[in-house]
Amino acid sequence: MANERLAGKSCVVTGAARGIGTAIAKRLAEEGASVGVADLNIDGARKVASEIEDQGGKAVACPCDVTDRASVKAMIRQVVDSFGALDVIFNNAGVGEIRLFMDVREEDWERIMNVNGLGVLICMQEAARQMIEQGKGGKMINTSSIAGKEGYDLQPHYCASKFAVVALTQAGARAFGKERITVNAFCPGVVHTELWDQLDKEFMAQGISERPGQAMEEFVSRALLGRKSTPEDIVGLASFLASGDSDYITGQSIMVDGGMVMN
Amino acid sequence: MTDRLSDQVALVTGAAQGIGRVIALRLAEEGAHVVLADRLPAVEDAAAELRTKFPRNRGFAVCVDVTRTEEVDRMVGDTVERLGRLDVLVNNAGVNHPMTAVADLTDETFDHVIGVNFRGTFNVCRASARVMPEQGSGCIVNIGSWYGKQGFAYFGLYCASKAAVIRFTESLALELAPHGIRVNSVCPGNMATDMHWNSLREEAKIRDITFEEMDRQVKDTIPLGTQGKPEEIASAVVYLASEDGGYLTGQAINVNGGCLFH
Repeated sequence: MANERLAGKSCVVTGAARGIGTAIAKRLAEEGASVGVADLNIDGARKVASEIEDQGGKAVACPCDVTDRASVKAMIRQVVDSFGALDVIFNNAGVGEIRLFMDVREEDWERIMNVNGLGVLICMQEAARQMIEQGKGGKMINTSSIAGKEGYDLQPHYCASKFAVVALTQAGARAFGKERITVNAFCPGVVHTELWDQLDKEFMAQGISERPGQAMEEFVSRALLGRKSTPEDIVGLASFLASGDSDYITGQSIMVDGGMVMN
Repeated sequence: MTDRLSDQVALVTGAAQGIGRVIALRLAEEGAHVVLADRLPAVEDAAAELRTKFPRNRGFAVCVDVTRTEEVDRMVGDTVERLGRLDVLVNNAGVNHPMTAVADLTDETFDHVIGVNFRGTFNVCRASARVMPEQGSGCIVNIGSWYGKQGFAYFGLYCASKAAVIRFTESLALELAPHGIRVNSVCPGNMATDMHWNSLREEAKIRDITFEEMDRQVKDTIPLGTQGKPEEIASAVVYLASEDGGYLTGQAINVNGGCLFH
């Protein structure tokens, strides 16, 4: 795996203190990129950044609240000051929760939509500002979900937010194409991360499942490749979308879900 | 370059020229042994180029008409006999038809376009579906088109043939997933190939505008503002065939500069 196809690239990954974000940040560094490890949880981000540096990679931890424009601006400034430019941004920070359709309250909607929807919009705008100024194009990769392609009754507001990510991806591709900035999304299925551990507890708390792991097993039984996903399954696509190999791909939301959803 | 497909055995149809030839070269560059198949004898030249550039490559050229079951079965059989297995199949052979109103389409055009684009893909997939499950692994990439995801006036048969490829890809993915075999398609948009330039020239003539005006109108519909290069299709094929694509199946990946999002 030790190729250097991202050598000299400056990347940042939001929500990189855990889960898929951590795995992406580490893979980018392995392929030679300098990586901004951005997260609300700065201690977690520092830990990931130092793990990358221990492996001989280049990383900087960036505190970032994606719903706060000033914080996003500061994060991008920090990456540019550290590595000289911003070539690739992964808008990966997101939150999820299990809530039955009839139980979604206004505050639930606002919290989920703020982080997953508005947070992606703000990060795209601020990253675009920087990339346009650099004048060398760039790449934006957003984290959507199978829930960005299909509505599920146990998380209607989460699905709405991930559909929003797909919409922003398409709109961004049209807005920034002439600047040679590509915008794509990837759509994981059931990935075993801390987020799913949290959802699993919520399934049980709401009486939807009875034992730990049950909800996940039931979801995963629909994946053609017959197993739950790990962040490692996602990083190959992340790396492809960050590399020059995907230069003619834009506006796409690519499923990486073991064959659960085909549209 | 890298060695992401080291010592895998790949078969590419329509490999004598255009996108297929570039895909074959790129697979070889990644370390695969590549069998190049085409109806045109020029496939021998493509294979010779590949042998010169990649002396380790143990692949060979096959002259084949993909619409003929017995020729296809023999080709896949020869591949497995000579190289021991078949890891990566790329169904790229395809033909377009001149801009034609449906009312004027002939049975011959139907048989030719549906025959090469869909039946040809089906034939090679069927032969491979008989050998890949024994290996417990494999990867099939079918070349679709953005014309297979949306209808276009005067290209009815081409669109239908590519739509068939995409739906067939999904069905085959469902069938072969339990055997650890992944099946996806790559859907090019407007590509800088002879097929595309010829069809622009033809359409410009019919619409009584200049080729330059026609080309400008096409570019305006593409967010990235330009036609794609065969290399960009090849890099998507390599991604899908490599370990990095290991959790994708049943997908139709658009490589189209943003001209279509679904």
